[in-house]
Amino acid sequence: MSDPVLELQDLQVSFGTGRHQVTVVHDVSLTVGRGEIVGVVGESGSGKTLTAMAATDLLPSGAQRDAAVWRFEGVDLLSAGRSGRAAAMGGKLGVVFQDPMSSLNPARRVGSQLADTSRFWAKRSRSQAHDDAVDRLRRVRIAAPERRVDDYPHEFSGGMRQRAMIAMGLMVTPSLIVADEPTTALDVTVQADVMTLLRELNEEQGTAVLLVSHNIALVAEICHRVVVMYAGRIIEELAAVDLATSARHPYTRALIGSVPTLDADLSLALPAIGGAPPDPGHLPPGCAFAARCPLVTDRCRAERPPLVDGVACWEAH
Amino acid sequence: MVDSTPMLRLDDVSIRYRTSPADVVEHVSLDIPEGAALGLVGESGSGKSTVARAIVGLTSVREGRVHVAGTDVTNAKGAALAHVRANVQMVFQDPNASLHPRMSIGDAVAEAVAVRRKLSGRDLDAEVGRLLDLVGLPSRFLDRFPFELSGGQRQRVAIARALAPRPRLLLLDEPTASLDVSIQATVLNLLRDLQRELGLTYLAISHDLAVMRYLCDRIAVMELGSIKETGPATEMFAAPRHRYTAALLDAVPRLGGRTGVRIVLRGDPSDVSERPPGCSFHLRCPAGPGAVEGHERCAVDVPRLEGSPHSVACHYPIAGTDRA
Repeated sequence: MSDPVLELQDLQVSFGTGRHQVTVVHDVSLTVGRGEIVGVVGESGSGKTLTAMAATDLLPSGAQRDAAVWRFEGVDLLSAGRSGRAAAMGGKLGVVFQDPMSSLNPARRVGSQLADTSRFWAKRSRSQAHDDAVDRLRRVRIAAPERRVDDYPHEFSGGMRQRAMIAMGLMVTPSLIVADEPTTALDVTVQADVMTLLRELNEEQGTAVLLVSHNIALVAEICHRVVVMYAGRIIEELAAVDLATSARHPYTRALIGSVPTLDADLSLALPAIGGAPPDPGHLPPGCAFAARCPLVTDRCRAERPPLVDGVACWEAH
Repeated sequence: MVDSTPMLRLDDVSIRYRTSPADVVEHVSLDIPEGAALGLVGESGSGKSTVARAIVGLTSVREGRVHVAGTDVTNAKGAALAHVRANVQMVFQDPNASLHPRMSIGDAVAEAVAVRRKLSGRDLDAEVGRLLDLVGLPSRFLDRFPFELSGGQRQRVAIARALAPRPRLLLLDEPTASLDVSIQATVLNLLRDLQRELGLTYLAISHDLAVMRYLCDRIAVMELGSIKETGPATEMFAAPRHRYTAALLDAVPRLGGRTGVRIVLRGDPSDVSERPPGCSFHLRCPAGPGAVEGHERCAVDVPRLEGSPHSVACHYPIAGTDRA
């Protein structure tokens, strides 16, 4: 891939030390190209959020990161210090989380919070930054932005807050937006609006997007490329258009099958995946999905399948 | 005609909170026959959870009547409240919030049994075993604590507790919204099996239309406190007649990609305090007076819910194959 915005190779994320060390993200290699929308899907505990946090230098305290390569717009972040990493990514990275209320200061007006970004990173004056805030709120389709810019977060609806978060990411021109479950707390109609907005930014400005979600249909609809994670590892990587028909890993296929759809045959029970994902502290020696897999063989239980040609499964290789 | 008393009947129910400037639920009428499952869908603020809360007396009804199995339980007290508690149970979204962290699974279920039924000793143990078996949890779970269970297992315990007083009507408020998709499927299958085996009646609430279609035979779509469309689930989702229903269906992401152009609603879901006159949906409607000439009536007259079994509250409903 030419000119990637974000490059990660062999990322590990772990908690604790010594005997108590538990690794929760294993050997994740992820590249987001300029203007590309990449989705990361997985269930809770799959490591998708920690991967996104590690990539954006937002890991919680106590988490340790290790990687062979970590670059943002070509800048090596591994050898850079904390301030070096902030300088490389600040102003070029927008981050949107699930709950916008926890990212907005409830005691400050929305506009002044947006303006902070512009003043700090783009060195805009107070009045310029205010104008920027109005402009960005208009761009994310907040009605009457000249008036709304002076509202407090509680005066915004859930959808408006989430759009305000995206607006904050747009205060400077981002080359990458990382969105972690950006619409999980929202109504389906508002979710569709937020997704349309992300896609427009991508098409009009070439902003790359890393979308983390448990919703496989949502990811399939907006992304170019999809990465599926299970028990801390990437188990499949494929073009989004191939997801519905050509997924090869039994977990990906089971995941797709277990989601109720609007045209499903109601006479059949939903195909469920039995069991639960393994405890990250006690991963089996072979494939982590083996205990739940319909195609499991002795080899799967003994030997972990590597990610080859976009799939980590002995039966699919 | 056999017994035609519906398990649940809402007759022209309006609800207002003490702090709300207008009714949050407006003239809602619903009938659920025994053994049927009705799904209430709508955006947040549509009043769907408020309806469920009013049935069990968690919020008071301002106007209209609520009947459970033929008994008037509107703003129930005393004997009527006992009737509700004996017949109606709720399952909530988050099983973590509804289970005591320091109480074993066996004790948690036994407590729910003992509240309504005088059982003790061996009989109580047998009943707890039967309930856990119903929800597919082996007896080794008796001594475990909630933190040792997965989200799906916890929701099974919550369902077992809800079934303990032998209710006839279950109110399911987003029963799978906090679960992972692979777990959601097992809980949905369980709820469907239980309904068939025990002849239960369901009122389910969810924002996930595909989940509702899977679990319910009828759907009622609410918007800003009133029912906009109701009908048989498969028929209504295949050919919605209200543009709000069509927009909700259209917003659902589809794995195989969408067909055609999405119906985009103008603006955000509003609040009852800003409910416009006429049809409450007319400001966001793609066929409202702002979008289509001659539809000025929508801003004046409140449309009535008409037609059976598929009814719609719209002056200009979508006809046949027309999806505009």
